[in-house]
Amino acid sequence: MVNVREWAQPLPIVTSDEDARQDFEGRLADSSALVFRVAYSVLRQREDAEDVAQEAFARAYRSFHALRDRERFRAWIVRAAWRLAIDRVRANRRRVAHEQPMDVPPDGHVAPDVDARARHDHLWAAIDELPEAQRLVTVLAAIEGHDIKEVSRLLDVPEGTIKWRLFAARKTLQEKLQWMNPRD
Amino acid sequence: MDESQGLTGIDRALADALDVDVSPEFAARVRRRIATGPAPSRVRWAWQLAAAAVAALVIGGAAIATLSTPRPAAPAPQSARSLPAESPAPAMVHPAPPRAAATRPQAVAARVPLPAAATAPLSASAAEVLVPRAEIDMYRRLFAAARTLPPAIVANVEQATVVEPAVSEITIDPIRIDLIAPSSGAQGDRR
Repeated sequence: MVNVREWAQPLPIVTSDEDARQDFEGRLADSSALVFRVAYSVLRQREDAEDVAQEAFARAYRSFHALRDRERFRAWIVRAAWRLAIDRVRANRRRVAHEQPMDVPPDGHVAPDVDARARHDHLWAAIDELPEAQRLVTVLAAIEGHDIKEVSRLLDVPEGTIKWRLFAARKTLQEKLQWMNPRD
Repeated sequence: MDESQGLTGIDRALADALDVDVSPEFAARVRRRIATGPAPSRVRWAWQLAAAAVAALVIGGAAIATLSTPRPAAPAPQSARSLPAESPAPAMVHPAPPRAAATRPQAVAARVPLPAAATAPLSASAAEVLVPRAEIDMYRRLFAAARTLPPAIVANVEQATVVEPAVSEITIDPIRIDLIAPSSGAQGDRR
């Protein structure tokens, strides 16, 4: 449910560039880890993820004066970082070999002595095969312990839609990653 | 292991995979990128707004200057001239009936203004009708041809005499109505 009082509260009035800068600094410190992890979930490389996150914050700063509802800054920059990371992956797809997902075994099973690195790669390969909407929901739900309400607020999508996407994504991942939880 | 435990395992693995911390210099790098990047959008928008205002002023001034300048009178078309409004339109000239074929040139001449009459000065109240030169030439040729035409051939069609046959005496036979005897077993037998 939406708290009407919370919506009715006036936004902080920024009277000068210095106030805007301080406001932005606070949001930068608050959202840095989230934005970096969102970018990392797509790129899986620290340097690229940091570069994309920095670019997202730089663009956010340039548009910060035009952002009326600054309480939604976090949602805005998460989506911007996601799009920038997707674009970066597409641009690097040809020349970055290690970003290509590994092939998942058709039967969903892997030898029991598979090491942690291979499990890690298979997990990301299965996530990469999800539809983009389900993928973003899955990643955001796994970051910082976000619940459905917080993911819904970040993506500006109804909670029911978030639930459905999360359910579908988990079902797909469970089918593809059966070897991670073998049935005894 | 049930389904919920399996999902928990996948979620835990994903959470572990995403448990990466941003470097401590991240904020400083963002500030450096902002400092070396383009100015904030408010400054850019203000500059673009000023440029748009100047462009609008220039365009508006040019439009006002164009509208206020008196336009030179358009030259009269050389291929057209005026005809008096009272003159009958050429389209109203009908060919003379065959009986008046001998006097048609005179009749046409009387109803259609001659070229000399067309050049007469117009009265102030008369409306000006512009006729293309090509059309005028066409009518001139038509009138000239009409004057030189031989008398029209008048065909005397004799009235066909239709002799209708004489009406002979009409005889109508009287109508006879015979009584119909009821058949046995029908209503006639009922008492």
